[in-house]
Amino acid sequence: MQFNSWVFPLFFAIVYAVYLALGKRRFRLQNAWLLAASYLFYGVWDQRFMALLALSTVLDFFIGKKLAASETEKSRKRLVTLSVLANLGVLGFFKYFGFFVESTAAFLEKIGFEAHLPTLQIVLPVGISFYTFQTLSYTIDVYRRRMPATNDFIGFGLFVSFFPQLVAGPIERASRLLPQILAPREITGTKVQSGLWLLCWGYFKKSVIADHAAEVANRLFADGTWQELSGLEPLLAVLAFTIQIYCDFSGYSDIARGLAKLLGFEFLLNFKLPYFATGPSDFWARWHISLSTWLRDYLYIPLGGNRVSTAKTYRNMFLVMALGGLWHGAAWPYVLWGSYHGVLLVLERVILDARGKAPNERDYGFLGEWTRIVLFWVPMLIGMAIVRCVSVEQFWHLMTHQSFDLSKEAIDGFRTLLYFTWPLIVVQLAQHFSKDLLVPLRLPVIGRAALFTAMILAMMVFGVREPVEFFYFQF
Amino acid sequence: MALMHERLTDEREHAATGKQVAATLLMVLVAVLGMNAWALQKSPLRTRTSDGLIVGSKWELASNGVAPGSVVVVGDSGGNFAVVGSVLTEALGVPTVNLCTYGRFVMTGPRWMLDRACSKSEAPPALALVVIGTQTLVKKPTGFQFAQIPVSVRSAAAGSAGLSTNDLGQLIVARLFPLFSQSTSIGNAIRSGKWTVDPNQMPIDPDGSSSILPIYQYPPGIPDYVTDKAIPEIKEHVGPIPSVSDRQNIERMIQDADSRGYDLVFVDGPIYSGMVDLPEQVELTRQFHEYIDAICATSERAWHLPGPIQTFDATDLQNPFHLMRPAALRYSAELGNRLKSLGLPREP
Repeated sequence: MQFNSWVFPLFFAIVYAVYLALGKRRFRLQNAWLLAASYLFYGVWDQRFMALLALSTVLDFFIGKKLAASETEKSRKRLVTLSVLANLGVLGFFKYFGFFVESTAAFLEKIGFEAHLPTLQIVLPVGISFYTFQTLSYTIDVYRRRMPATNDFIGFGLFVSFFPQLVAGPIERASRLLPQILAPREITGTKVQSGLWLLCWGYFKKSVIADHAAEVANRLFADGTWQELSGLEPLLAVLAFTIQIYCDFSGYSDIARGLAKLLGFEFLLNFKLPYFATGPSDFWARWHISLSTWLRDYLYIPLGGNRVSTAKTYRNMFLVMALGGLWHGAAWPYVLWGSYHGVLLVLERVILDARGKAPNERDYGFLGEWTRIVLFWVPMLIGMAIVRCVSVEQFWHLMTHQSFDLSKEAIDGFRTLLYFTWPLIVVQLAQHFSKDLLVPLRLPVIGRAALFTAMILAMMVFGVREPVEFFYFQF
Repeated sequence: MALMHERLTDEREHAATGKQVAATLLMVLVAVLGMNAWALQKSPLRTRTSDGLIVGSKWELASNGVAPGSVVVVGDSGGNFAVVGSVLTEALGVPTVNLCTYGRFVMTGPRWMLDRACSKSEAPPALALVVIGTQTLVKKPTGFQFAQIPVSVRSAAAGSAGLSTNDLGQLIVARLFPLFSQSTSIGNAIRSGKWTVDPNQMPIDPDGSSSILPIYQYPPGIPDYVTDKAIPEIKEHVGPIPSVSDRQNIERMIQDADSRGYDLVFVDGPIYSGMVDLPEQVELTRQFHEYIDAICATSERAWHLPGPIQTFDATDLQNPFHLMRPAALRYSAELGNRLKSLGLPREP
């Protein structure tokens, strides 16, 4: 079931009504109800993979309990290794088996061997990359003694499968979400108001902005069309995709977080105006934060982080980003995209190190900040082109056929983009200058009502009608 | 790596009471419903969009009823642009009214239009023509689309050919929110700053006959339309031809013709000569003819008009199924001749 499917509002209305009727004093019953709803939500896609979700839940629940009971470091290490291997094994099999087999075969062929490696048509279970990382955070944190193991199986099951963030994040930490699940939730007017804004803004970004930008991007990236792009058309294509992917993914995150707030939960902020980033590390402090902080805490720091030699720090940064790229998709464009950002991060650090500046020092002044924001768009757009292009030829064509020629097609495309994107620009400028993502809620009641009304009417008239799948579902 | 810093924008909660939230929601609800009600009742968009113009005019015409002994034509957009009422009137000697709308309403729309015309008339027509192109049979309509026809919810749900629960639900939602159900036309009108269809550029005669002007011709050309849109649409279709729902509507139309006492003739819509012999089209036509011939054989009042499908060159067409007026005159004349040779309409 998708958030933008027709059945979802009905599903949520029923779930919410029963949830509220149960009341916060019966929060364990509420948990059981949400767990059942989450499995139904997931089962609508493919019932077969509900078992995989359950397996991951059962395994990590019992490993968590064993970890809590285990005294010796050796057995604790063995248990956490089992959890990591099992979870990554499942992820590796479903997501990466075909990729590695095909890549190996291609490599062997290149060096003169005819390879007949086994290939399997493996269906990728929706959301596996998200819930695998989420459940891993539990066993690793219990192993690190950063949180106690839970004895509440239903609560833990809900932590792994909670429907608002099950299939596309945010990737929640057990130490953050489990305590919320295992205690009564308070649903306040403030939370409901914020939740409604996030829902409305998320749906608006998805249906009005992302799906229209996708139409522009898909048309230009279509086979037979991209070969003809020139002038400002390649820029338009990449720009459209850049708007699409942000509004699509952040729209999903907003909807997820909005639903969570309505239910009395708080999810991690996943985006903090990434297109206002002043450089690569700033970008990753703003884009898909739940993943980048996960990679930082569970991969970068265990590798030594920046407490090792300078060369090893650079290596760690690059490695983590390359693996982050691979997390996104079992395909070379994603690996290249991650590696590209790894290189950008390393270069930035090299420059900062050479200047003797701390990576977190960002007092640029107004002009300095905006110059950096504008300049960083160039490498950021190149990164987006890497993700979107399906071949090196396509990427090369886009990069080498640019000029300031403005064709009619390009004018129409830019017009369409601007027509649907201006509300995003206005809202984000307000958010940026106020340093407040919920700045529209500062309006008086009547202003808020007018804003909500305008957005709902705009969605009715301009929202793309046929539900377009969220981009990050493929991960 | 992801290092948080103080210049990052964050989320700051803004205190609101339950009453404030309720007041906001109430205002939003009233404003959204109000805007939709305004669009339904008052907005010029209602009649000036392509949907509103054609469907609204035809529904109004049907609601006025038809003269006793006249000819009523229902069907898809192929029939809308192909049947010139004055030509049939002259050929058959009885008044003709064209109530054809769009293929997206499949066989449901024509049934509703015919039912509306009959129920609003003092006496039944002599003859009803259902002009359908086979492309209509592979459309996948939704309740949102059906909602564009102003039929009552009760009528839409009633009888053996009533809408499915899903479609009916969508129809009700669309009725409450016309800005949503007519969003394509309204969105285009708002974006372009002008009405999607200028009534002067898509004239509708008092008898419902419509013409389409050459400016609306499919820009890449008719053959491209066939390969890019028409044939893929046929290939994508899954299930029987006609669909279960279309069969129910056809059967219901035949039952109504029997009970009300008029003749019902199913007529093949016009088609581009370069498409009619393509294998996908041949198979589609075969399946439809096989069904329609069999079902018409069950009633003395139902006919499938004999003779080959009328085909036209690209120069006669706006798209593979829409005739320009000169070709429509020829189509209507031939239609009149074939009806006369069947002895229709019968003498009162």
